[in-house]
Amino acid sequence: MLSNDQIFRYSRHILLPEIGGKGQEILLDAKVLIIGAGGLGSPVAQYIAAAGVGYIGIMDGDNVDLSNLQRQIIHNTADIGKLKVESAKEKINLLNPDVSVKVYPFVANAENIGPIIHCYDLVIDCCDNFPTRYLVNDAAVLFNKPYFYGGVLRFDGQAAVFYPPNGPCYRCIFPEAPIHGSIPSCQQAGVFNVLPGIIGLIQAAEALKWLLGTGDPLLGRLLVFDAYNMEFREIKVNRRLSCAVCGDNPVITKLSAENYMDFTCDDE
Amino acid sequence: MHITEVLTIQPKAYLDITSDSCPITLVKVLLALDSLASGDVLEVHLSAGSASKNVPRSLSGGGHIIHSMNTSGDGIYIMLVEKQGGD
Repeated sequence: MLSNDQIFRYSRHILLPEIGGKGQEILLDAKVLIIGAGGLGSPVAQYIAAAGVGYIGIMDGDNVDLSNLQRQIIHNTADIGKLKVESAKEKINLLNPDVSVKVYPFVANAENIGPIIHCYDLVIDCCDNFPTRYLVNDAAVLFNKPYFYGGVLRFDGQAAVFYPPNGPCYRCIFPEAPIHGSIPSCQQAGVFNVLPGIIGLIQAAEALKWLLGTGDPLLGRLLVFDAYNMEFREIKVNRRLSCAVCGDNPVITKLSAENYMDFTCDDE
Repeated sequence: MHITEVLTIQPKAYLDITSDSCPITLVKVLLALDSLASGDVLEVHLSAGSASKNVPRSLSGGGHIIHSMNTSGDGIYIMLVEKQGGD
């Protein structure tokens, strides 16, 4: 039963027939895990919290740095030096008292991710590196959790929903991580500051729609966005039967550290 | 209004939104309809003006049936709305 304050707070969602009071109560009972409290994680966390998702887990081992503030909008200048998860939790608590925030102030790895992802309805990948992305993908497949992918670099972004066998997983499309050093990081290549906002909110929109069971999800479709020319493109993507983790004869049947070696740049 | 007019249709629930303003008026009616079954009737008391003009229009637009909309002359309308669908 919604309180009088909740009726006011969520009135613009309750008015939508696709959400309504029942949908709002579904959101209040939902548990969402966000991996990364950076450029993508900032808008995702803020909007998911504002929507009234009742339980939000945020995992990130980093501290807020001055160079983050150009795009990581959940943090502000006074937060420099704080753990990103603590900074994010403070903002969410101020935004919406209906939301409980669980912080995981460490980097996801093969040992810790399983028991955590297990507790959530879905996972939103807001990480900035390939080892974590493959780890989150594989954990989502092995624990049967819908995985909301987003990635950004320079002026280009991508987003998709992975929930095999309904469509592919991330490994079906990109079986192997790129060769060490072949893809520059945001730190080296830069990122247009609004880009993670746009892509992050596509992830958040898909996650909210999924929880509500409404609309057409971004399954089997990779959305590719070019902010420079302001173009969206959609690539049809299929599940690969030979996929190492979601294929018919998977090689990866449990999470082992050797599958997620750090192949990001040495100078990061 | 005459009491006999109300009694021809028996409301399942009652809601007073005379002290609410737009859009909370409609939000509260939609939430009240949520707890009813399709075909049930809700009696709503609402103020003349924005509420009496817009709430029935939005409910009709949402597929619900407005059976009656009567005023007692004191600036309060009594609306009988029958829920349609949504089960």
